[in-house]
Amino acid sequence: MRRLFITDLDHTFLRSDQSISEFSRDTISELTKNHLFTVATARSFHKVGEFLGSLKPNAPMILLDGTMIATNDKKIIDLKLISQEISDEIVSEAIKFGIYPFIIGLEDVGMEELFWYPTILNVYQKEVLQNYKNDPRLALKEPMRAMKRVLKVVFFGTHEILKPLTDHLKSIFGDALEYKLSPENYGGGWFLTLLHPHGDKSHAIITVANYLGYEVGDITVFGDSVNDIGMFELCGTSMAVSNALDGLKTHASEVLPHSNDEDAVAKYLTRFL
Amino acid sequence: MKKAMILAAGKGERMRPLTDSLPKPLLEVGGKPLIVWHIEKLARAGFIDIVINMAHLGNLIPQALGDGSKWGVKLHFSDEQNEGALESAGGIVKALPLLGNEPFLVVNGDVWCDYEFDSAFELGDGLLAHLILVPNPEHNTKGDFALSKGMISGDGKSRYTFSGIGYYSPNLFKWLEYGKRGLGDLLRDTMLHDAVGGELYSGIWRDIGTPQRLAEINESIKT
Repeated sequence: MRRLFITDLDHTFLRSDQSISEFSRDTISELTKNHLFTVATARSFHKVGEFLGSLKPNAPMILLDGTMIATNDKKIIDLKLISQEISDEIVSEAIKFGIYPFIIGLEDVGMEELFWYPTILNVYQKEVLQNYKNDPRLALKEPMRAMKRVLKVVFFGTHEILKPLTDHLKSIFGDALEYKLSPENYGGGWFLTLLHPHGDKSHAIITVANYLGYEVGDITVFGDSVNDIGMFELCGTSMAVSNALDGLKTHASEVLPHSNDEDAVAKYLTRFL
Repeated sequence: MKKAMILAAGKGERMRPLTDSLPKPLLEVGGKPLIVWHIEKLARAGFIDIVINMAHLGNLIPQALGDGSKWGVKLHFSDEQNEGALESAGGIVKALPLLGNEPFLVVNGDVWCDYEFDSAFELGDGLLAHLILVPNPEHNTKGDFALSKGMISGDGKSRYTFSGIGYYSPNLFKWLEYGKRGLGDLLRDTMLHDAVGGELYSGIWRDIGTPQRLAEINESIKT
């Protein structure tokens, strides 16, 4: 049987400079002749395409942390959307706290992403926008409203801003949303991501498995961080790169001897060529 | 509501030469500095802490007013002399630690009115601001904002002039970056999200914009 390999991108399959080595490219090209290989990432379709270049996953890609599953040739297999109505309500509730979100979604038809931002920004949001300065998806939305197909609503700020907001939104929307309040890796800021409750990598893995007619136990996954824990627990074989967080390593079936910068994933996969 | 802020950091360019040696809030109306009229009324209305921001000739303001004990209030000064005036919203952002976590009143130091400040005022649910509008004076015939069913918007019929008096939630300013920022644009953006209410006040209200208008007011008080 053709094996199915699914890897996280950043700090797992990608090197720390976000590149993919020649060795990794060659290995995957060979691998995909006999097996299935794809990605599970927080990145967008657009961005994954940029990273992978000529490398083509031959199974559906898990994108945007599991809110979108799409094939390499732009066929959408699944979307986990937040309704426009709920998204607009989130905006109204947040305004009571004096904070406005970024809303990330899809254009009405097609799979181009939209990244809408408000006029009134706090200093953390400004910094984030700086990093997206030349991103073609960016659009100022005045007034701030949701698009028809919302993938996620994201707030940036401090814990002081976002904790009460999270509690308030939970009291209103309950189980209709998934709430992820986490510190940023740099800069001391926090972010709150609101998603469809099934918008995560492990739900997406189940969808992909069903789509391809695989059991999750037959899947091998690679990862480095806490957002990979769900799929690590779900899948038959879960491999942590050597640079993975300790919190993930304890959930891995095996810790690879190499790091992302040493092409850990590709080195492991050579045994299936 | 126990806290209020008087915006007193304007440069008073249009009031020159009167403001060459005095900040605008210390110009006298009826023999009393303009700002003292506000402090007296705020004290009467039950406000306890009054924050005053200052820039142009700022030091003269605390010198003239003291600590507020003569009116039974506490005056707090937010000094913008180094920044060279942060404009209204920027000034409120800077003064926010003095204003606390409850809604507060803000009044422009350069208006003259008989509007009675209301320390019992409560902002409606979901509102970040409540503005007092006045009929358009001759120098602002097109008005600033539109009022409809208690809500204020930037565009629309029934346009009135912003009096410079408003009740605000600290959340409107809390997360804004420190720096120069006008209040008008911030309010306009907030109105787009249906978060600004207001009312029309039809009593006496004057904007002390020019020496001529100041003279007129002084004239009207005599009679």
